[in-house]
Amino acid sequence: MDPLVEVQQLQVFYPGKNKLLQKTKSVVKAVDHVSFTINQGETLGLVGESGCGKSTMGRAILHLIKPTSGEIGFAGRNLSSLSASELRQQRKHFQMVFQDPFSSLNPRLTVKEILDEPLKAHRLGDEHQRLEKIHHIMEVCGLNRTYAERYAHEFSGGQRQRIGIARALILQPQLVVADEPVSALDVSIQSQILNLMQDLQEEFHLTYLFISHDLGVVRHICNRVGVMYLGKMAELATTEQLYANPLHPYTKTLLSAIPVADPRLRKERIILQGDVPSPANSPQGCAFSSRCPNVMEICKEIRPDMQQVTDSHSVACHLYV
Amino acid sequence: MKSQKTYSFYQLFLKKFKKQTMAVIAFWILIGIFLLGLAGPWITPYDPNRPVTEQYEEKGIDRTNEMTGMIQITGIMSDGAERPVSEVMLQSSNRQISSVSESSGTITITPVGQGSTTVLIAKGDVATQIQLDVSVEDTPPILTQLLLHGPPGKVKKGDILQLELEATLSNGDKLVGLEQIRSNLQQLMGARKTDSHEKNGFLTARKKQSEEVGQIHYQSTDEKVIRVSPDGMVTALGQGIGQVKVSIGPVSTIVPIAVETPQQEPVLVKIKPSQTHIALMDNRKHQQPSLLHWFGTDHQNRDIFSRVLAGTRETLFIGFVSVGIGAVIGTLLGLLAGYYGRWIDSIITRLTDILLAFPGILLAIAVIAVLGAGMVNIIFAVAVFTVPIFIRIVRGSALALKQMTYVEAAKSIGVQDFVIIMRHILPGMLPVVMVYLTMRIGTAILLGAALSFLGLGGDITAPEWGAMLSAAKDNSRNFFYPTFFPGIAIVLTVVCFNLFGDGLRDTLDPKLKE
Amino acid sequence: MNTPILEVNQLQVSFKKEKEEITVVNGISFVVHAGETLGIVGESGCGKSITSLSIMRLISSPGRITSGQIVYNNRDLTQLSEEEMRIVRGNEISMIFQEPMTSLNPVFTIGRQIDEIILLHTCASKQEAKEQSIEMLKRVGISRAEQIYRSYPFELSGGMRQRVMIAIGMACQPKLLIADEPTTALDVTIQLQILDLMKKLQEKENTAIILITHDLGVVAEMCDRVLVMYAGEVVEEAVVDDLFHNPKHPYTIGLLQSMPSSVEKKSRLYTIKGQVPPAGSITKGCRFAERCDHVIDRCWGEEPAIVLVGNNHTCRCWLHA
Repeated sequence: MDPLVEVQQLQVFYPGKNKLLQKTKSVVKAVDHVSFTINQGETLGLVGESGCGKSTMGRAILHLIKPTSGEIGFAGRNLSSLSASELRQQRKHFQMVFQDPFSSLNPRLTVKEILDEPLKAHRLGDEHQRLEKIHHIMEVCGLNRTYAERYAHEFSGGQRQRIGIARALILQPQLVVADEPVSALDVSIQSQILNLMQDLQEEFHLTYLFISHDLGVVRHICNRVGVMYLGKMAELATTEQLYANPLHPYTKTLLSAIPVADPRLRKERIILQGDVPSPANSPQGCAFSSRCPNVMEICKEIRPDMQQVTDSHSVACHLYV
Repeated sequence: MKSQKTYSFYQLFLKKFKKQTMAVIAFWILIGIFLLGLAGPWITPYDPNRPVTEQYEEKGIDRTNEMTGMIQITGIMSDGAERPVSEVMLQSSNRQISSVSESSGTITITPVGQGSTTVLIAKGDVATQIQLDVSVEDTPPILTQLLLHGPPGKVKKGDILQLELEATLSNGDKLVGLEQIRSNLQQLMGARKTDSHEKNGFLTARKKQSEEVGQIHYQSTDEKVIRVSPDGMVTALGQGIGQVKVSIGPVSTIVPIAVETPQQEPVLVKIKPSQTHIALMDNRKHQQPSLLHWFGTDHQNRDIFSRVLAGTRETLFIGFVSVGIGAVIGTLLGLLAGYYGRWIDSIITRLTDILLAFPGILLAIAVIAVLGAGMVNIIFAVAVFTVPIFIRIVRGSALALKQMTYVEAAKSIGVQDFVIIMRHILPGMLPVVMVYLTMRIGTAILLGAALSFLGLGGDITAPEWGAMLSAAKDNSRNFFYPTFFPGIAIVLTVVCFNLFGDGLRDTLDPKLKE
Repeated sequence: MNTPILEVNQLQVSFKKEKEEITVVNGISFVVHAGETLGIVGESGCGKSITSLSIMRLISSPGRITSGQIVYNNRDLTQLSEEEMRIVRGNEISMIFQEPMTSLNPVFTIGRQIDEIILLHTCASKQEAKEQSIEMLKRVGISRAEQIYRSYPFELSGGMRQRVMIAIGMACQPKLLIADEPTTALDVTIQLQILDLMKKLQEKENTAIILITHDLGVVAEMCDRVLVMYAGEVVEEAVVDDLFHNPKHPYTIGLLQSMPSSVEKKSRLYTIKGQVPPAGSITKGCRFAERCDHVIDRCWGEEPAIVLVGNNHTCRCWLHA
């Protein structure tokens, strides 16, 4: 498998809120020195709690947010080196599906107009060809073609998410970044969308970056999973390895914390103390050191680097050095 | 989903807007005002810039009857015969109200002002007065003529006679006998005193006169022949022809009394006008609302209704153009500031802050002070006053819309910034801009009127509501209609714009959801 | 355990929309026993939140309770005056909402908001109220209780706020706590903390809990008995173990199968076809008929009644009649 996306030492910083009369500028390190690759045709999951930087990561890869430093290689090209118009040309190769199916579609446009927008932006085909494409993608995404003239605001959440997916796929991209695509949906609708995404991946040979906080969904759809905590990658492994043999203490507690839909599996869980620290003042050393049940002295001072444990399993923890 | 009808945003908006009864009413009134404004110059009954009097002829309106009074006078002689009289002495007791002239027994009265006055017609010792009301109604009757009846038979020396006095009032009533006259006189004069009070500037002079007026004054022309006591007892003293003159105020009459001599030729004892009370309309200026002039006329006798109609266009023009210019500039700058942010935003926001630091009207006056008075400058001033407000709201909603995921989605697709602004951001803020636009038009009209009122509008004689108010303000104590109708027009328009804007906001604001 | 403290009988709630009465909760009956946790699950729009608000009599216009009884302590809550109801609320029955961000007043300190409810329902003095408040904050696992007492809501994280909400809810030792999606807005590790806290408090105080959620994992973790709601009706009621291991209603079965699991990987998710019908759109037959895989002719014509299908296990389906 060839890597489609190569992320190297990616950093995304936001200027933090400056307190009155404070001279030094505080910086929120939303993504801090993260490197990984996404292979052609796979689904890479990114999990983590709110504020861990997984959404920022997804947007930075698409250059919707400008990375502070680091490189993003897409199909062998360095996206950061492209000019604004070149980047816009490239956008047809990587698309995004958004979390909120309500705010991600302009309520003033019809389905047809929404789906026509990417085709128009990249000047693909004449009107007739575009309409054909729109009807085709609608059918593929399970939307009746008679819906084309309807307005987005008339649809339910599930239908809207289908429109969102159709919009992302109409340009036949190679990479789709899906930012929590099912977390706003009901369980019965969620499974429809997940199945649709799987079918589409097969049909169009898509590569997914699947961002979610739901470990069940991630397990279901992803080949590999990266666990993020406070802007850093804590663990990256194939799905089987990660769920069967989590190494990082954070991954362990995260997996332990998920309520399982089976009352017979109620068990003692690892309950973490305290909250996720704000990214503006993450602890020195290992970001997880403030909550880690296995914390050591070294954790508080030196930040662990990603270590390859096996071929397809790496972890950033001093326990495994 | 199956049977559901597809509604576009526009249809949804209409559906919801129709429920706002007040706004719908306001909307239709506004449509009416627009149409009036558009059609204004063609439907005004009179030329709004010229006095109506000049226009009556071209319009084929004959108002001479109403406007000038013609009175025929005849003289009544002591033997009861009627004779034409001429070369009478005429006097209008208040020249501010009317002027009079006479030619061969016909008196022409031309009103110049409004109020109630009298015209005195005198020849020799006989004086009659006519009550003249110009654009005034319900004035109490006054005394117009007196007549002393001469003695029935021959008069001898030493006779003591009581002559019968007859007074005619302006409403046609006759009072006969001294007693009756006396008792009514006080009442008559009293009423007139208060009336003249109101309509006349020369208070002191009139007061003195009216004190004298209360008396019945007898006088004999020849004391050797006849003596008259103050209560009208005539005593014949010697042979000859004497005359007794009686006067109440300016009205007087005489009666010849021949003592122990045959009657001479008859003398004039009474001037009988064809009308004793004449009501006229003042048409020089400030005509009252009537069927001919619905809103009356102003100080230059221009038809206020026509001027209000003609002013509609001007006023709306100021409102729309100034707010339109302001909104376009403001929206553009606001969009730039909101969408691109960073230094563009900083510059534009500072500029807005500076402009907003001035009170609106002061800012407008400052602009006019720099540019000079005039309609175009008013529009510009109001636009300057509108720009920062639009920058603020547009920037705010651009910032909010920029956060919408669908804008991010468009970016992720690779849509150009310009297309994103035109397709996603501008339509999204259009409701807010529209609401503010309608509300601002009301304010702009007010401000424009205020500037005109202050005389900053250039041509103060132009039919513009603010200018009309300004021109009429000095007379607003006496005449309500020159200020009332333009004022009402402003109020109605502004209220309608505000109601309509409120309705729009209620319909558009809570997002267009079912 | 077996003393019923709340009995809901044929509760019906309608909303008025443009002269039309739309029944959103239709003839719901259930019993809550002292010290137990009753779960109410269902997708959005199934009427579960409306049910909980009706118990608190917090349904506001245009909605109203059209029929049925809510018997608490031998008193029918639907018949109480607003004044009497105020004494019940917060004191005997209290409620925790989903949004920990908006359910606290941002301009008052945490302490003041807890004091308020204590002062309202007991005859404690201000000093006593403060002591009780701090005690309460300690009991919900807030270590720096005195400091938090003086803080404002915006200074706290989501998890902390939800703890404060629980502290307010439990301040007067209510007999019944209604928790409406208490952890939906929280991260998994924080969710676990909150669920654990609720469990511990329940054991101590013998409080009954009605837990409203869409997350079957949380239900399996927390509840003793479960009510499954669909389109304003209860479709199945069972003891938690029966529900997860022996579900009867096709909807329950569908929900369970469509959930991606973090424990095992399914190759493809089961989907319930179609979407949740809008409230009031189905008037005839079984409300689930058009989405059901096992639909029979009878389902279209007649509404199935609730039948007993096992020990304490009822179900509204013609397949089991």
